[in-house]
Amino acid sequence: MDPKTLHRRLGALALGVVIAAAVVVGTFVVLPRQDAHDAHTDYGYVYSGAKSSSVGFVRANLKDNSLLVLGSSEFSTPARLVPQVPAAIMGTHNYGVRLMLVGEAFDQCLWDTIALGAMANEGLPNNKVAVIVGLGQFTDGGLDNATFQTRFSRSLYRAFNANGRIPANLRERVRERLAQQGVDETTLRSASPSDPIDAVDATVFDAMDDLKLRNQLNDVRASGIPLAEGPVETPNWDALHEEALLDAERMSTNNDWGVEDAFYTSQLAPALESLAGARGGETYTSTPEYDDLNLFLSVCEACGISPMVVIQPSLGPYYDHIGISQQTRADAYEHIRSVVASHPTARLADFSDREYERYFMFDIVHFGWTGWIEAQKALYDFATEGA
Amino acid sequence: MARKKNKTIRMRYDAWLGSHPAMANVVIAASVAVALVGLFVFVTFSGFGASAEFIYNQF
Repeated sequence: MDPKTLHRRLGALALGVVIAAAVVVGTFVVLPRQDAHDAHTDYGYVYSGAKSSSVGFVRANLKDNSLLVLGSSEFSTPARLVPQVPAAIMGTHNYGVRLMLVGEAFDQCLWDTIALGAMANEGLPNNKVAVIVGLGQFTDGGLDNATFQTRFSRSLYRAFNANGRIPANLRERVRERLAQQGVDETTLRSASPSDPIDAVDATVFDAMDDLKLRNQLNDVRASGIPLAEGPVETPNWDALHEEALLDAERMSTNNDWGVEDAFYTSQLAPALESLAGARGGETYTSTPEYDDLNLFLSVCEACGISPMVVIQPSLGPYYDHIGISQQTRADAYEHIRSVVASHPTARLADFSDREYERYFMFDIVHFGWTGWIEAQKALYDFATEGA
Repeated sequence: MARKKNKTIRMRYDAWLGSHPAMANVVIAASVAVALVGLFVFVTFSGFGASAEFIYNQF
């Protein structure tokens, strides 16, 4: 190939790179920023991993009377199954408290620790946070690495590391746990770059994370509900509880455990026979989750945030059936309580004694009709205390 | 046999590039742009690495 042709070919190659770069830059320009939102829309009740991973979006949507609530799959329960979910109660009334639900299925205490550290960098409304925990996250062996990595958010971890109020020993502990969960060294280093190569990685990963979230947040913006405005109402929890009982009686008719009909028919009934005694070896002791809860509460203290831990019960009759004894579960709940008690600023909303209360759960692990009413009352009382 | 066939294709390709220099440059530029944009879209916007769905039987 003669030199002139070679130069032209190289020029064409360079032009291709320039065109691709223009497309990337154009994407940055076209996609709304992470913190873009409509001021009259409430996104606090939208169940979304993108929302939960975007510090910019969450912080932009926190009001003075917001309460950050960290949790997991319980936030996914739709109002058509349980009309008492937060979106349908606190989301549709101006009770003077707005919940910002953050978390998705399989988000556990390590994820909560990172999210809290990331989002509390500049404090939180009234410097309070609530976290919902359940026995499902304390099973032996802890959360497997593959599942954890589907939920790990490098963006959150980057923001966590940028929070100067978190002391070095807690940062190091989080880093160790992430390594144990299989997060690779390049990703960890890029979240707190200490040399030029890390800085280059960080720049590229930051840009990709930002674009991915900006794209996914478009769905979140489309899922918000009208912001409940007008005069502040006082919730009538007794009336809401009575209404919840009526809904539950209507939606749980085909089983003795008080779970929702369709869940019983499609998920529970077909598996009951094979599950009898199947989990008899579970101890709820061999897991890093208790230490991670302790880590979460320590990060709260370091950031000046008062936490409330909400213990979501399991469905007692089901766990008896699969062979995890009431005593084993009671020991696990007590372990959770002892971790919370070791932090003087931490509060507890303990519903572990409601395992056998009909309609408190709508399935085996998630708050149901009366359960969500009581959980929201606890959150409301916590948020308004001292306000 | 396959090698001979590949050689024929290569010769035809080189001959086409030689007789259509401007078109060849356009093809090169477009190929590079499409490849890089495709990689960018896949890495940034695909569902690769999407969240896990809640599974009851793990509990």
